Amino acid sequence: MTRSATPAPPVPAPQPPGGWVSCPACGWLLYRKRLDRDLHVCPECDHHLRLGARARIDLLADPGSWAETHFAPSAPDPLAFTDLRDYPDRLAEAERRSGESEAVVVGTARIGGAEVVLAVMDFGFLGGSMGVEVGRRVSGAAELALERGLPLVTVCASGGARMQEGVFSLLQMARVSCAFGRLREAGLLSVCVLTDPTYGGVSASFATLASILVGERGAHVGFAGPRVVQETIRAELPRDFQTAEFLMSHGLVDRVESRAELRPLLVRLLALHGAGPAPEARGDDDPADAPAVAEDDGPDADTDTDDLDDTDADPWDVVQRARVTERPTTLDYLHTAFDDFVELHGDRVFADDPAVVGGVAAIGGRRVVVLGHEKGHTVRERVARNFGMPHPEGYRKALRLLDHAESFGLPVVTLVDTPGAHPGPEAEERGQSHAIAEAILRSSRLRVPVVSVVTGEGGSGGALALCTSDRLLVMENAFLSVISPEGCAAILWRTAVAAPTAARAMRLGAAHLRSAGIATAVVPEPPGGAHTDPLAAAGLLRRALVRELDDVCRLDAATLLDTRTRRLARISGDDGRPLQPVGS
Amino acid sequence: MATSELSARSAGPDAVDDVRDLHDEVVALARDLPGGLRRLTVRDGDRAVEVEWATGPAEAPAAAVVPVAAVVPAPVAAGPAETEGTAVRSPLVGTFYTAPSPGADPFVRVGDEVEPGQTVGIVEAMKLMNPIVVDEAGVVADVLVGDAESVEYDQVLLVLRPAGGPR
Amino acid sequence: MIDRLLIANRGEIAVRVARACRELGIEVVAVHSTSDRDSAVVAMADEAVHIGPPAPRRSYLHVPNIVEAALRAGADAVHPGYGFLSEDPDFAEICAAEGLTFVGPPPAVMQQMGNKATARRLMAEAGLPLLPGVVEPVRTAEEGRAIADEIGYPVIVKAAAGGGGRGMTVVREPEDFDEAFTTTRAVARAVFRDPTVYVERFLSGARHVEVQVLCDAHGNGISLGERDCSLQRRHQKLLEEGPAGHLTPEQRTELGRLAVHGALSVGYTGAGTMEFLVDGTGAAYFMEMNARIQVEHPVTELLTGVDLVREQILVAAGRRLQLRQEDVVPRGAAIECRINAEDPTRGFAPAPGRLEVLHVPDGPWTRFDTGYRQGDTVSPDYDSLLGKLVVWAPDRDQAIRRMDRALAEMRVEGPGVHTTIALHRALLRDPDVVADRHDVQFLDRCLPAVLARAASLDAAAPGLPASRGGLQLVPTPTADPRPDRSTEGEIPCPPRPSLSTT
Repeated sequence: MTRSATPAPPVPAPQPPGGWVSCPACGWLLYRKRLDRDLHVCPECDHHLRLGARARIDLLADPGSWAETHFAPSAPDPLAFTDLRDYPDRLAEAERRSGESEAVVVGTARIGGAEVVLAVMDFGFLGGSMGVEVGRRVSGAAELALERGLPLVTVCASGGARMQEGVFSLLQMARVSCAFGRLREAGLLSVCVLTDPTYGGVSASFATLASILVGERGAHVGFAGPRVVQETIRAELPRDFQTAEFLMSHGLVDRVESRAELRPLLVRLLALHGAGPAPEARGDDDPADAPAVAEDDGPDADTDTDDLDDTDADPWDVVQRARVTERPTTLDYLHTAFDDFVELHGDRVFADDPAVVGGVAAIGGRRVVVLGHEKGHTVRERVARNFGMPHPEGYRKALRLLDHAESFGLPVVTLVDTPGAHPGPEAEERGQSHAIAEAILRSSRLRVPVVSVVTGEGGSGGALALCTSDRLLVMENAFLSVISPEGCAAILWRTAVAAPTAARAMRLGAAHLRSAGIATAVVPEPPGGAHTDPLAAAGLLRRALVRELDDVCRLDAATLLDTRTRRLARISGDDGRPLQPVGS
Repeated sequence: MATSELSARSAGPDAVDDVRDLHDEVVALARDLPGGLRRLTVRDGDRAVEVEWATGPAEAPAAAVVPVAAVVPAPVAAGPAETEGTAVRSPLVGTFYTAPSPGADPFVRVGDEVEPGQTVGIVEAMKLMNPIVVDEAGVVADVLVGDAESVEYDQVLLVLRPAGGPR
Repeated sequence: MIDRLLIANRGEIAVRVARACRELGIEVVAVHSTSDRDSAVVAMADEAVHIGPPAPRRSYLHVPNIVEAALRAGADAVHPGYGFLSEDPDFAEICAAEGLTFVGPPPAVMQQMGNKATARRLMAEAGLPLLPGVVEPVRTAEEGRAIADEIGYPVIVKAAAGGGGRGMTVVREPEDFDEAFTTTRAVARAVFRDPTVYVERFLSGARHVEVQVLCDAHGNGISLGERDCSLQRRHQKLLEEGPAGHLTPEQRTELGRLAVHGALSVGYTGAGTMEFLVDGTGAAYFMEMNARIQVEHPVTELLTGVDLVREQILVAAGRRLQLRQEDVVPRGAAIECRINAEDPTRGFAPAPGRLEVLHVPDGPWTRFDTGYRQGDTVSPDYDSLLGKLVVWAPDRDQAIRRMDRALAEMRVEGPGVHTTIALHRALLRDPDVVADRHDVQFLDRCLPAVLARAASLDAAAPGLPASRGGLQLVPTPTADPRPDRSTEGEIPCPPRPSLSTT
């Protein structure tokens, strides 16, 4: 761990003269001018050739916005190190070859108009290794961000800690981690772009400590290099071992992007976290236009009746409509009811659960964190999404996104549509109950507003993990239940055929939830259900969300927590009589 | 130009199966035929199979080759697979070099054993030297292209026979 | 001078270029992929080089192999044909760097014309009228409404990722704009996952008219008349004709003048095409420039008697244009039908296969350009153009009859092979097409009706019934007033729905 943990791939040999180069991955002949225009990505095999720091800055920063921060020269070579050559010689040569004075370049820039601090590593300088000066500059970049209240964007490419500076290099991991910790405490956004390769002391410090981690397509990122791993375990490693894609499937990075997509993504991420221009509203959010929505003004109003009472919809019809495979899913709503959405993947621990989606979004000029169950539509999608039944890693993704929302003061919207949490041995091994419980607890005490919408099936605890909120909306053909009607029928009626009867007995449906004071409002659907006109359904959901968010975002954190606690305490079958100690 | 049109271009499932069957037959046929093949043309309409064997080094490879065609009935009953040789072909149009630099020893000579990953020649294209690497072990049976001669795509550069096989 | 020319293409255009070279005494180097090794152009060529496997990106688009083939075969020039590398400025630049004459405009000009926004700006500067609208994406409804107010209604809101009639909404009144804008964006976001939209003036009843130009490297340029290519399906041309009968002689002359002026203003050399949209009043708007020889160039060749490929090669070799504008006198009418190996009844799915029978029509002023011979196989790896049937006649009515006769003579048979022959015969029987009052949306709108007519046509369907007027040897363009195209009630097909999400 102290050494450059990877066998750092050799610095690419100086390219031969002439207009052509051959792709290091597939050997395809590439016209250099076109390769430059293609951002050094091979059109044949999509290999992302390595880029120097300056090319990275050109790629990411608004033209002309880069202002480099210059650091006073420090005393290099603390150990007076000599291997085959003197270390100062190596430094001088690295400087000559890369044109940089160290393996990281720091400055300020604008990305899509948003002012940021930008720190970019250059693998061409001694393999991007981190010694004292790199540690100083990276922590300097974090301090600059703190001082100016700016987001920090880092681009990593490093073999790890620098051997020639020995234990001084090792301690830089603590120095930069501490700086990133202060950034996190201050609620400042940090985004790290992990490029090929990022290893050892850099990947085990600031490279993976940013609020959002983005892997460049095909980049190799890990702690120990693949050769070290292979020699240790003496087994064949998967082909995609330690690639950005591998990391994402293991829940360790938020996204994987092609090089061309990096800048557009950063622009959107910065905007969605309040840097740069405010998110654009669609201009159709005039609440005066909103159709009549059955709602009450607050949790205290429980007397008004509306046209969506129990007699309107048979609970079994509701159950069936909520389960229609064409019914819009969370991702559908994210692309139609919201103005922008960037999905953030993974629980940062184990996996990315496709049954739960989440990320940052914009709606009606407001930035939010959105979480929801995702079922998919086609058989293939539904299997891939496990029919919207989350594993513990799904709830842990939700948990860490709740933290993300609180860190950046973003309200949370959850969209609930699940048959329930996945019942299975792996889910139990990984602590399904605990994961659900933590998600409920976290959302019950979150210092930012939470608006939940049951958009389809609200199956048991698996649904409740995303339902604990300040406002609970329920769509006209949605329900929340303690058990599926089939399950209830099988247990109590001893036959699943009795499911319709069970559904009626449990009074499933929006109307009952509303009249019982559990749901705070009902979101109407197009006649026949949301699936008959998904765009119209999205419009109705959007209006309801904009209205509720406007309302609930007026409250400060203390009021919010207090009201939420009282709201949860009042939910019972007996019209919310407070608990009275007997005999008092 | 629309994507739908492009995707529509892909053959239907039946056509894919036909192609797969044909492919399998051709592979079996190529395995069964003796000698290093230069070209194998299969026509479905008249059910003709044209075979062109790799010729000896006496023939100038850059010159237009008169097809030495033989017609064999198809399909061929599968016999014992006896691979006589593997052709190493040029992936590019360019100039073939047998040695790393002028006057240097050639990468390989007839009779040399080669290992997978070994460079056996270079094709220069757009002033870049593209190493020709073999992907299986064998013994160089023949080098068909002289040093600094032009080669076209898919032209056989040299022929390998299995190591330890009959000479 | 050019002595030996490499044709970096395949199929009918490769044969067409090889023929021009033969007539000019230029030696021909053909390149071919594995699947084209026995093609017609390979048989015609002085030398043929195998450049790669069937997949175009590894053969006809693989610049290193093509350039190396040219150098190794001793060629001194490269003709790119159309498609493939013909509009790739890098390829032109690489050829020049290797000392090869590229038959086409200078790379920098090609680059400019290849970028739609740059081309529009340059042509606007040269004084060509542009279709009002913005090239930049429109972000908000307010911004879009301001643009629409400026350019005037009706406007069309188009999804950048859309195409072929999908993801676009026509807005006729300002009060409908916001709704249309929001819906189009929502649809674009939902269907294409990209909400980017543009706002442009919408032309109803527009025609696609393009002007052929030819410029030398000495600052001379001429126009060779225009072609009408309004019969297209999802921007794929099916039938082209000339002249554009709906233009007045004055409009025609002015369009030709503008086209030459625009081309010369950017230093264009060689053969090129300026594409315009022409509305019902005859007002023309520049759309884009094609910096290459086009598929439909034979229409112009038959109208003017000028061998465009020959002139293109001579100009590339540095020769001054020998033709003056007054030498170009288009005569009569010409029609080209693209005979594609496609099945129109199955969404124009490519229907390649072995051509067991290929009987090519013949007769007076009947030309068939193809790269295939009987017994050849149409490969699924490339475009499905089997050949181009082109006829000339003294007037449009005769040209239609001649084309129908030629189409009836044509026979293409083989397992799995389908063609667009019957579709063309049906098109030539459509009242709107016969009356020359169709527009660019005609096929997208009326295809089902045309297909139904094609299905009812037997392969041996009789020719067109005798016309009332009998044979006319002299074109009488002014004697027959154009039908009133403003009478929308005459159009039998329902208007296309303004928004399609399918």
